[in-house]
Amino acid sequence: MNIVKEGDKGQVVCEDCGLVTITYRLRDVPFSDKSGVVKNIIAGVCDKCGEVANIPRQSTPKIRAKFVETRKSAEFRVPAHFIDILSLASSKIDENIGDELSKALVLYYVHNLETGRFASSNLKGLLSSAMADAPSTKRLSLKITGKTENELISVVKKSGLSSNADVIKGIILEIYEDILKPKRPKHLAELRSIAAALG
Amino acid sequence: MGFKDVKAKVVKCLECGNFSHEARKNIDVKNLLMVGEITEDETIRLIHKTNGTQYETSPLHGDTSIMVHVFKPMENGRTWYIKFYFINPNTVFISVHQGGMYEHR
Repeated sequence: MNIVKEGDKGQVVCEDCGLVTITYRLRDVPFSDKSGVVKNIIAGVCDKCGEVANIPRQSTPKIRAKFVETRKSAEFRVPAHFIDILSLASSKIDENIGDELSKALVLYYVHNLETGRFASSNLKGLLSSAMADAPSTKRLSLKITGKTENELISVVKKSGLSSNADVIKGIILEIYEDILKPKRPKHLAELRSIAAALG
Repeated sequence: MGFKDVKAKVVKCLECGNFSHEARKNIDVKNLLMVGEITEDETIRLIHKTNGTQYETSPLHGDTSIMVHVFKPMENGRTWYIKFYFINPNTVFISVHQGGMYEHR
């Protein structure tokens, strides 16, 4: 394996400067989703703009350790048709994105319910609707940050529900009401912007 | 360079550890190889599964003289996206991620 040392030179394409030489230096490098910072790793720094333009393979173990720390895999048992609702809602917002928007859609609702922009009072009623009456036979796995987990706990309290799983189920039913049922989905412009950013 | 040559070269770089990752001032969490969510061996297996119809190229943003290679193999009904370019003698990975942001069984 090629190991680089501080001060070694390399050549890569920098996003801002094009084809450049880089110098490997110690840097604190944040994750793109702002969930954390990996401190003091060897990174390729653009000789023109001074920004981090490359990460050598040898830095992955340190990145991995921080990445795992910032994420928890939350798993929820849900009825099979709930998975279909998420996929269909994602496709309805942007037919080219497939189900890529599914996770972001759930997290979008978690965030807006937490801030009070969306009312959480409907969730309880939705869970006793006919649409919710099915066995939870599928597993929905979401990688969530500590920040989102705290938002989820806050929504559990606000909604009067008893668990994170119930909130997630309620949110999926809310997505059915807001996105799938109406001819024109609610929050469409905003959700299309999110889809564009993900795409 | 044709598809088979590209495939052989990227596999060799992965086997030898002669690769790095693109960074745009930060660590792109969509690059699962960079964050260690997928191993070199798993990436090689996905590359081997890719056929010519699941391969695309396009000029690299930032330097159009360099081609970006995109492998899009299917596994368990979902598409993987493996994007990289070559700067001799190494490979620079731009992204290794799966279509769809959540898993279900």
